[in-house]
Amino acid sequence: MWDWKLALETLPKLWQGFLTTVQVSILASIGAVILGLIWAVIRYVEVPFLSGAVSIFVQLLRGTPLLVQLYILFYVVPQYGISASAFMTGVVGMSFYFSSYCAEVFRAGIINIPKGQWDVARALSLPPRRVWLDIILPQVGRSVIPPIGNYAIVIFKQSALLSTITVAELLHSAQNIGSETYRYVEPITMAGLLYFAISYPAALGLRRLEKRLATR
Amino acid sequence: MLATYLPYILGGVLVTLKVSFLSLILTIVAGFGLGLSRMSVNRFMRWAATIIVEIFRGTSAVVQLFWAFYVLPFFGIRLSPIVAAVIVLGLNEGSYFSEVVRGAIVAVPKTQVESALVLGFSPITRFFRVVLPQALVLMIPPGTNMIISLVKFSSLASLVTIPELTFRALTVRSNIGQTTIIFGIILTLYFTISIIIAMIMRGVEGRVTTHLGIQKVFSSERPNSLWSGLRKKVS
Amino acid sequence: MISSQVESESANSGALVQLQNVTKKYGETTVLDSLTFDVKAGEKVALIGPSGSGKTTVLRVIMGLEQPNSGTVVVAGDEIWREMRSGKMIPASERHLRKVRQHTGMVFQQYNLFPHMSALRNVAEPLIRVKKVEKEEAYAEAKDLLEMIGLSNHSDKKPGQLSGGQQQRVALVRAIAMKPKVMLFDEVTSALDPELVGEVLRAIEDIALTTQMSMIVVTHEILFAAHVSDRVLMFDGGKVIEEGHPDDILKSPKHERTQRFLSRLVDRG
Repeated sequence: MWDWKLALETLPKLWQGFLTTVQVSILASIGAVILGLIWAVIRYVEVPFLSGAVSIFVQLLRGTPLLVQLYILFYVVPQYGISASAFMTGVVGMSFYFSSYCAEVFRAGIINIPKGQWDVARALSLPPRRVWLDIILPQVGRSVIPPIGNYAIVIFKQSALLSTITVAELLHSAQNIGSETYRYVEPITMAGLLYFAISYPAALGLRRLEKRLATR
Repeated sequence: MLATYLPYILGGVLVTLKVSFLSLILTIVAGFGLGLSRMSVNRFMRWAATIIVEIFRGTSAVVQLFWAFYVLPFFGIRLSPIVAAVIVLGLNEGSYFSEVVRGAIVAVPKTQVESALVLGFSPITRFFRVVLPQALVLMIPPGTNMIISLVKFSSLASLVTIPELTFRALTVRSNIGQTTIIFGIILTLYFTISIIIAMIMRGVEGRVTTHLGIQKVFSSERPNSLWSGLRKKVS
Repeated sequence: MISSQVESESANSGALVQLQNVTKKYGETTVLDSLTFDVKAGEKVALIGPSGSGKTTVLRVIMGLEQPNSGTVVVAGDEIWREMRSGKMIPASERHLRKVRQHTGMVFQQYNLFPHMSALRNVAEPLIRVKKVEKEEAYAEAKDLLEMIGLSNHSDKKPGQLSGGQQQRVALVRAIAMKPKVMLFDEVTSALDPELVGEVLRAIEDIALTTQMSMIVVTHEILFAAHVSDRVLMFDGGKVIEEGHPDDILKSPKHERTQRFLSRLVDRG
């Protein structure tokens, strides 16, 4: 049934895949945040043609499966000359997909700033840069950290999908071990445990952080 | 060339919808079951439901799907692809939905519960006649996301050989190439389904709120902290 | 059901509602301080006093919504917060509370109608679910009650479509429909726009004049309180500091704090 010896042996073999997963997750999270911020600002500032296009694009990103978007980046885009490693493809794919969620978070964060804040800033005749940097963004930052942190954890878990476009991350490694040894039980279970061992404490920590941010 | 395969690809929509629908049923059942269990006075039920929810939320659907498909057979459980997919997607999404259920029930104003108490309603009557109707309205916006999510995640079923939309696209592609157009088509199909679902749900919300006489919850423009609280839901 | 001592006392005094040494604390703050008073059957009592004096808490304790730290609360011969089980007095269970709450009805400041039900159904539903009245009969009764307060045209409207005053009146008849022995009113006009206050007060007045129910009215409307009640109790710091006939209290309050409270109200006009 369950082979403890084998289970422990697979851990070091999974290590490289795990590292890749972590790298992908960090890069994709950063990408998602940056892109999300860009989308949110473009939509907020209401540039005539661009804002509408971004709006539709973001809806497209949210309304279609991540898997399909990854396949498009992996199979379709290279046909038009842009080629990149599977790793980068995965990072770009996840960055775009999750940027649509981050954009929504930023938009909600900006809208939810009490109107009084804008009024005060105007009354004090602060230049726009100061208004944004010193008053608005810090408050947005505080309300935005929990959801963004949440998505970072999701990115970490969803990175397993990248195994389908041959990125050598955790799930991919587990599958390889399984196909080599014909025993899938231990590798996949251990991989699952690794995902859990990171995401669950992270989620708990995030919840605690959220409580502390809320009380300030 | 593509034209001959077009019906095949379009047929994938039905399979996608079928997988999504079956998963949806399980999601709703699991969502309410787990959500209510976590609010139960029975410590064991709370504890058990919490464990199930945290396990399914702690790893991604892909991992769970592969686990169901590759690992369970070793323990003697052989699930057909469709059963495995529906169970995994249903329980996975159901775990997230259980939080929505809990949040919505808790969000019904305490004064409503008090009114029911004062009038002498039994706890069961109170729940079904007073709390639940009001909670259901609150569940509609996150519920919409949940349904669209299920449609998106149905694409994972392609990984366990279920011939839904994504699977068929890959199959056709390996036969005739024309990658761009094929993926363009399924992208459009998925997008269309999402939009239609969103429109239907807005219609549902409209009818339900006028029927129940409650204020609309579904406004993306209105900063509603209750709404964003319920929106802990993810992708 | 209750200890024989309390039973004989209430039988002697004919008190429908009896509080003895009721104390309620929230953390460090004492909201009700060894409170003792009673209300006889058919009596209409007004509770007045500054905010935070504990008036709302008293109602909630009587209604079985807020458990006192000590003391006894008896309504219609039943002790609210303790029940007799196998010969011993133990803290009340939910079932016991549900049973004894039937003696009492309450109208809240925020109306608290069920938003997903029509006015008619708001009144009929408790009759059907709790009093087990037949559906047709319940709706007929609800219709009559709504007619009595002049809202029969609005019976199919949802609370969201009614004004505050209309909602409060529906809440009123919803509570009355259950035929409680005691009606509690918790500042029922405080949340209303001024022009809507009158219609609600008139409705309460009608009820006061036409029924045998005991009433405990917590209100800031002093003139109304005087008009409709047999006895006025002045509350402060969780205790009754003065009580008496409306005329006596309001025209010649004896206690210094009562004088201050009333004069402040008069100044506010």
